[in-house]
Amino acid sequence: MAELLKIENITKKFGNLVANEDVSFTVNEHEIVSLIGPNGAGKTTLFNSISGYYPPTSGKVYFKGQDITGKPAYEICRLGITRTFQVVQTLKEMTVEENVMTGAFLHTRSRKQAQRDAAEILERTGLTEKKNIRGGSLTIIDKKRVEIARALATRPQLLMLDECMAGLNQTEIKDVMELCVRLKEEGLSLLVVEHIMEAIMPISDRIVVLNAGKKIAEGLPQEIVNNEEVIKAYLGDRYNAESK
Amino acid sequence: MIGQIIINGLLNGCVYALVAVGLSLTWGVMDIVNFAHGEFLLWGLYASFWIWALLGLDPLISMPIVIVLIFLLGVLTYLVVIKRVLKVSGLTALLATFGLSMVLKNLTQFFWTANYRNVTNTLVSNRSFKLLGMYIRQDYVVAAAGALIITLLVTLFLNRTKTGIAIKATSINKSAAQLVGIDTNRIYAITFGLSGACVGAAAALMASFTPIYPEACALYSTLAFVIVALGGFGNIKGALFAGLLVGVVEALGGYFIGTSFKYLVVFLLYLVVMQIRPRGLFGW
Amino acid sequence: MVVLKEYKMALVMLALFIGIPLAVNSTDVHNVIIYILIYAMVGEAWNLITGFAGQTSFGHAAYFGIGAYTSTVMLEYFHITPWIGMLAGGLIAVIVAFAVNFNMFKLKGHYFAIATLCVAEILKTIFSKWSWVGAGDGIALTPINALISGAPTSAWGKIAWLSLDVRNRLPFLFTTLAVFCVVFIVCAALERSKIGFYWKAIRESHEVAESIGINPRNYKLLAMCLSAFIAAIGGTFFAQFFKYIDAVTVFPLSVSMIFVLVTVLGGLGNVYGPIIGSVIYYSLDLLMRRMTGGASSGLNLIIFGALIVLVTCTEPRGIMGIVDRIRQSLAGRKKVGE
Repeated sequence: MAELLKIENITKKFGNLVANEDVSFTVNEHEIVSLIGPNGAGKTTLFNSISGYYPPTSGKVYFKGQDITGKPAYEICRLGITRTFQVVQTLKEMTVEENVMTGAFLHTRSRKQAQRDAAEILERTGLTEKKNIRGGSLTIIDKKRVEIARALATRPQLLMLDECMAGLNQTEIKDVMELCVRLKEEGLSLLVVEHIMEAIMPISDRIVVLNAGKKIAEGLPQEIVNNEEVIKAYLGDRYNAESK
Repeated sequence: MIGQIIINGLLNGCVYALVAVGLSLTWGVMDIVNFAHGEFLLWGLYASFWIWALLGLDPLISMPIVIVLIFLLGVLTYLVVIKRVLKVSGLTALLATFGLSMVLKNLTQFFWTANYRNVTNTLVSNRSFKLLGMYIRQDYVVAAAGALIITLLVTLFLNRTKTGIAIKATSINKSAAQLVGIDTNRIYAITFGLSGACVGAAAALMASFTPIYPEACALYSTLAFVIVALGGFGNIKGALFAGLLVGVVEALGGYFIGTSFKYLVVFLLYLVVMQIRPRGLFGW
Repeated sequence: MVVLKEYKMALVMLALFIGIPLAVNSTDVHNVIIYILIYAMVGEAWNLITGFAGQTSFGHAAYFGIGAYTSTVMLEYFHITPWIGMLAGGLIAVIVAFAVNFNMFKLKGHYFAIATLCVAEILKTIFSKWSWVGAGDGIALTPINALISGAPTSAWGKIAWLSLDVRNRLPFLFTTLAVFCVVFIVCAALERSKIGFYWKAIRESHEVAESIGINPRNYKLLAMCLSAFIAAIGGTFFAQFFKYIDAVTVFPLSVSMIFVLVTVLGGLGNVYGPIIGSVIYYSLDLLMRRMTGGASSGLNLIIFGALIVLVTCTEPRGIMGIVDRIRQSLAGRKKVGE
């Protein structure tokens, strides 16, 4: 499996606060990698550093072998990495279809082509029936779907999802899980920040655990649930007991 | 000579600052660009004038009355207009205040014509004293001192009283403020009133040396917008400092480049400063 | 055909704009219609940067004024037709807009808005002191045929149509209308295009825009430059119509605010907004002046201001919001009827 994204010794400081310290890992092609950790572990900060929202204090980010450290977010997207946001950001005054078309315009100037691309993605994400609804008046799950659909419309090779299951109910979580697996089968790689263990474990190929800004473990889901340090730092006694 | 110019600039700047502090309150707390702010000042001036003309009260003495009147004008503005457009996104609120400014400005013209009016022979007018070889006009000094005192009082009010702290809380996070039981509707009404009170005070202080006519406050309100942005939105200290800075820069520009270019220098100052600090001098 | 259907309203309006001036033979009415078209044109310009790209400008008088001055100076001093003058003015406005805003979009929201205001105020001061362009006295425009030999004078003459001489009132009106139509079509086409989508994405969320590959700065700059170009053309028409310009007629905040006013009144971020707002603004203005007997008392503006407050308090999306509501309730009734 070829290496797609490589994070090398990323450190990010805000003044005296160290949000990420010396974090390294890779994401390969056709792989779902999950980034987990307790609140304040620095997951979103790392996401922002990778996707170009602010430059890391030190360290490097490589995408397909190319150094992309500190490049602006829109350039990183054009190279093939698209992200979603923890707090959903639907384009409120635009319809679902227009939201997705905006993403599709990255690869075409033609409105018709963008419309065709959007239609296909709307179908894949189960939004076709809602395409004329304004972004602002959607339910949470649909807003999240739109956000993923819009990101997909930019045809990324690596999709970065920031807590896209938070606030959803069991069935909805299952929908998103299935969507993730389907996307992987279609050839995408995913880097997923997630809180909900039950959802993330079964679909992840590998898991990276952050705690207090540092990487404390990396491995297959099974290894992670049995890792003493991870259990202590994050999963707590409850999950430990359940897995036994 | 330079000292004289700087002193004049600082004295002028204090009054600018007071007008700007009033604007900063509504702009910072409620994110409402109040285009009628200059007209509040205008009504304050007319109130001072008529109290002086009809009752013979000096503007400095009638100041409390004017403050209360413009405070009420502010509260009324909130209750009748702002409240209805507050939740709407876009520029609707701005348009509403613009309409209001048209009403308020032209009402003065309708009632009292476009003629210039002056408050004369006040307690402080036509007197100056010498300090360190500089001539200093007494009315300017009194206005500047009054402006500083009122700005200080407003700051104390915001930091020390329960209502003041509630105003600050609301400006930081409206829904959180509601959750802890703050009646944000009441807070907004008070903020608008307070904003009015500031310009009411400024009007009373300026009345003895400002010609009063319907267009009298256009420049003051434009400068107030620039000053508030220069200082950083919702930042009282920023508005005060930026007001003084604008006063001095304007005076220096007037001396070195020419009177007609003094405001050009102020606007240039804004553009230059914002390149370095895009969120204002005291913004973060 | 689909496009025709979508812009049915535009066609109806176009018919009215052709029909009314022909039917009503009143200079007063013709003047109001010319005003409506000029301000709607600049309103469309302002709508690009503020309604679509979401960057509030309080300083569009800057580009309006540049257009007015450039074409006027070219006509008065060099005897060049305003048709070329307006393109030159547009070009200069674009250069100024580009230079001024190149680094300005790092200012967000109100900070940016105040910066645009400062730019217009600076230009106002410069032009009111610049003796070559008349300084405080401004420039009174000479009739075009006295400057450009061979320009036909008779109304309805062959090329009188194109001379941009306001003394031929109807031809001038229809020329303005034609240029407005071009502006409207360009703006409507932009809205439907990739550029329009990108502008709206930036308006709705800067972060999202960047995440899907949009460089916000470049697209805002594009909006600003296009907007400045159109505003400058509006300025040229204003100068030719008004026959006199000086710094305080074309550059002040009150002029910038008219563009804001007509657009927000009609509907921000809607191509119909500026024209509808402008129609309402100037027809009410005319009505009010007639009713209250002239502008000196200020009564017309009092009523007018109160109306603006009333509209904003009842329908935040402007007149287009009301139109939408009526349309929806009509559609609803139709459905019930079936």
